[in-house]
Amino acid sequence: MIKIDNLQKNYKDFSLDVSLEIPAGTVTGLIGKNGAGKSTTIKAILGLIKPDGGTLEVLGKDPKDFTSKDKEQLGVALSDSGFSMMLNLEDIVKILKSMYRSFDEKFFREQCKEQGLPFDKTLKDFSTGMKAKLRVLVAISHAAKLLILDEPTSGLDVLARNDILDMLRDYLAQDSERSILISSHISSDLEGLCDNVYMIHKGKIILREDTDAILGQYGILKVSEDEYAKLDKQYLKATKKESFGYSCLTNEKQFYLDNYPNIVVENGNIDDMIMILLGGK
Amino acid sequence: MKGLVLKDFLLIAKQKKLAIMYVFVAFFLSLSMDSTFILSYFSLIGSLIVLTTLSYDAYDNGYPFLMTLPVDAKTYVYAKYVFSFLGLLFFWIAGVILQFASLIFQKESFEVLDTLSMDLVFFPAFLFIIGLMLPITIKFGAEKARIVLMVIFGIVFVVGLMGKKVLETTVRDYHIDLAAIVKKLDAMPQQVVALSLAGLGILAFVISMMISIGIMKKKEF
Repeated sequence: MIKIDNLQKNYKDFSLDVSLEIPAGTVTGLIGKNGAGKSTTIKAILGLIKPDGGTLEVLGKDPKDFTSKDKEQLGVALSDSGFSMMLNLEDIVKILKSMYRSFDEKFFREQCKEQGLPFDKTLKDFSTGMKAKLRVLVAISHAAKLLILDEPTSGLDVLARNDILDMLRDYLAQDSERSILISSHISSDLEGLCDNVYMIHKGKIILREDTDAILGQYGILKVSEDEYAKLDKQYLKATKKESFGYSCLTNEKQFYLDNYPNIVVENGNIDDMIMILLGGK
Repeated sequence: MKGLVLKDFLLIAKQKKLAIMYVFVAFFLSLSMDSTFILSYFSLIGSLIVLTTLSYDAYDNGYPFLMTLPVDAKTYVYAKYVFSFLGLLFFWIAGVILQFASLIFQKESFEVLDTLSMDLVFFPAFLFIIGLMLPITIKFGAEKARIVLMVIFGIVFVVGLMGKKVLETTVRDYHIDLAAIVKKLDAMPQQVVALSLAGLGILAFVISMMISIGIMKKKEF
């Protein structure tokens, strides 16, 4: 679905250089701090910015050669850009109907009702949660092959976030070939949805891992200075200094559980992984 | 393209209050003012309104999302120009109708064909203004476009002054009979002048569209 090789984009104070691959039928998460390069990567994939180097293939084509028909295969939700706030849902239905040949009006209307989105209000009167839900609904209502979602759950409460994740799960369940690229800094969302994650930092991919491996094999060791000194460090991916000693990220949790029965080993999760990888030494 | 034109239309339709106000003002103007003024007033309002849709597109950082919809740079520009053309045509026709209504109301005598051929000049003139504004606004955004336009007018003014001087010396040095040329132009039937101006306006509009496509293709969002 997406194949990126050394995509480069240089700005005055930021350089992006990423490679990533998203096969059909997978959900890939792009995580990283604000300003790490998530949105720039997504914009390049969508052809909104022109790369300075590298190759880019989305649905078998360079995004700069996308035709209107190609774009119908994409469903996009951007975090900071959407339909004009002066429009209402009826207007949006009309516009989408004339833009996408496979726009499913019935589905869209039903979902809007289900999610409590009012048809008679203009978008500027929508709450943050409503706007976010609408953005995702717009992306999933025309049988797109690939969804590209930039921070779709940012700034939402846990219930609204769950509603959005449920919508995405339903979208995936309808066709096993469908793929999603989703960027977020709320990692608990990604853990429940993604097959694998890429971690991006200062414009570079610093980790690519299956979500199952992160949750199953990764672990956080919490050790004192003494314990740290005695620790076999060959399976440690990163270490962070703490008040009690060190937090260490490992991708071989079992090894430490077996060999160091006295140290604290916590199960891996994306948040801790980010904290240690990006905050560690 | 249909979707984009529809979007612009829906956005404009949101300004019902403003439209009612314009018609209200036009109504009072038509009672008192020179009937040609009504037409220029309507054409100006029409031009301003179609140009606002560019501001709406840019408002709230709307462009990135807009360009992820199934449209490319070319289609976006085509749609904008089609919408502007139709929008101006609508307001121009409305202006012409009001103008005739005002002429009849004020019981003035007029020749339908003469008035119409006079009116026909307004359409290409405003088409030219829109054609000038669109690429500048697409390139610089509505805010900066105003400054750029002022700079352009400044340059045109200076070039015009210099041109006048050059023309004057040329006329003097080569003994060209300017009055005869003006007389000749004046003798041309008004319809021919109006139609040639309309042709020129449309040509400028098409050239402006080509420039806008070039700008849009280079743009990053």
